[in-house]
Amino acid sequence: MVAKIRKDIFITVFIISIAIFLLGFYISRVWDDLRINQVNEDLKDSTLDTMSILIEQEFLTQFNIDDCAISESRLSSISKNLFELGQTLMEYEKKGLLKTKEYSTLRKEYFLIEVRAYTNFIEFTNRCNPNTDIILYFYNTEEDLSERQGYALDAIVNRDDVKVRVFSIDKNFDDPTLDTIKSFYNITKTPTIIINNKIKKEGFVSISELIGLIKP
Amino acid sequence: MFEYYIWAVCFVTLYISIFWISLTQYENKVVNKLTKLPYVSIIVPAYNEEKNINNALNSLINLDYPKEKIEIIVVDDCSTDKTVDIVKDYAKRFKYIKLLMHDKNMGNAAHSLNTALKHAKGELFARLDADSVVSPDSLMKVVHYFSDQKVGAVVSPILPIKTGTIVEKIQRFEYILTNFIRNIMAKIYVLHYTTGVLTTYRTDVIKRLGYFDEDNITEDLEIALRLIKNNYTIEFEPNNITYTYVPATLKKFWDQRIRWYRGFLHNSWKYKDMFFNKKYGLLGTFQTPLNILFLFVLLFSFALFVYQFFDLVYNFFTWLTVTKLDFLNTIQIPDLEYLVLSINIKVVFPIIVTLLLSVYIYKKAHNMTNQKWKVSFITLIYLFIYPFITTLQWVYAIILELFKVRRKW
Repeated sequence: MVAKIRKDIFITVFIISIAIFLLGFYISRVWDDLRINQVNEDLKDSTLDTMSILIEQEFLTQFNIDDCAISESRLSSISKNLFELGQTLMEYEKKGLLKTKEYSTLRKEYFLIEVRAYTNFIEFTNRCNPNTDIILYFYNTEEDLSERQGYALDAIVNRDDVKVRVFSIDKNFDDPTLDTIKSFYNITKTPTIIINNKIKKEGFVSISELIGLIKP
Repeated sequence: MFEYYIWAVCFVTLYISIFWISLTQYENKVVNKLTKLPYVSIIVPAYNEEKNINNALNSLINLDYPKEKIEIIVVDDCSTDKTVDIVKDYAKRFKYIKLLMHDKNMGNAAHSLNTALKHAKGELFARLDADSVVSPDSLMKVVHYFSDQKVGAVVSPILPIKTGTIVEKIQRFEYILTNFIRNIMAKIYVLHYTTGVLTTYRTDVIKRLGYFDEDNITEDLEIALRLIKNNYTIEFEPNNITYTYVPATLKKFWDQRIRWYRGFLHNSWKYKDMFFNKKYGLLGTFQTPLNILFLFVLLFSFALFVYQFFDLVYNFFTWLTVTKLDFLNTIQIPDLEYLVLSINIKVVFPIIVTLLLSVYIYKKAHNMTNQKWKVSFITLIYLFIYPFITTLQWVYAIILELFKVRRKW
């Protein structure tokens, strides 16, 4: 016995299923827009904060006022926010849908702001010799060792007994500015960390090793 | 990869769910009344059923079907308890109850059914497992389906008699859903199962087709496929609710399901020529491919789940090894905005849609058998834990079949 069933029911059901899935795509895109907007705003805030510090430094220098104490706390705050923003951006990008270009632009913007913050911090370190240590971290998102290094850096940034700020850069991200930095530090493998612009360590560095390398 | 797989599985589930829901709009088939009630033999295979056989026989005695048109044949498979004494007592009191006894234990219901069939006088015969009961109007509801000469068997919905343990409660939920799906399957002539609880067959057809397969651990599935292969249909009477005892412990439940699933695999292979075969209508072109797809999805999901699980465990231990006592420093409480925006819509949306449709289908399924339903602990177990148990059972059954481990009842 062959079923007497309207053949168009299969097509109708298929169309309804596709429609529901398209709705899912639409919601995903809306979600992506919200994420991108949020990251954009945070990036804007970071840019403004950096600009604000620079202006403040210029002002204080102009009137021969010691700006070390103020700058240390402000730069620390910016780098901490940037570190968190980097993690958020990576998380959002992983969950994003068909917005590769937008996320790539955000990452570019993020890395550039980070490089600027890192440069400010180096300049500040040379001038004020603060207690805070700076780590420039080159990673590879596809690599297990980089993931492990990320865990170690996460832990050390949040420790109370040390003051460490980390600036992370994706080694494989294609950008002329980042290429110049990679070439400056001669970055050939990942993970690689540069501590206080002086010590270069390739491969995984454990928390205890890191503590030994930074200022007492 | 994982996300896109979830999308694909959800799409298929969504498609099938909507398809089923749309089929519920189809009216149940109109059954022509028989002008003359047929003689029906009711076969009760029994083995060590002293606790249950009273209930089964009492429910059969109470059938509102002319007593001169029924015979009840109990086949005892060498019980070691008081089953035989109990049945003998019934046979003394009711002339239409007969007892047949095997000389040695044959170990499965197919032998008992065939033994009874050789003595059965009915144009139709119904099988009732000794741990099951029927309602007084049960037989009357099913016999009229045989007014259509193409009908080979009629199946009825089953519910558990007892729902004391969690295992029984979960099975109740599953039986309700299965009844609903079987009703839909029957509407489009793709029902390819019979059961041990008052499935009624056309006697001459079963005899002509060579009786029940005695080497089969799911002879009810085998006979269903054989009927369809020989151009007979299997009907479903949604209003005829029957009752049976279901396994009360996880061990018994596991063993029963392994037997069912191995039987399904064995019989699917035996009747593989029906798969993708236009000759069998939607059963060949839709239902059997769906069965294959279901098995592939199940195996792939299992493999993926195992991979994801070990990946998670590996990452967790890596994190713990790297951070050691510092791991508390890496835990940060995220803000609400981050939490909301972090929701992975790609995965969450299809899961929500599928869950909503499932809930709708559960509700409809409960309505069909007049059962009350509310979201409970059992629903949550059924939705989120039971699929893992079922998957493990399928994987185990597949392994046993692949390694040709002896099938046993």
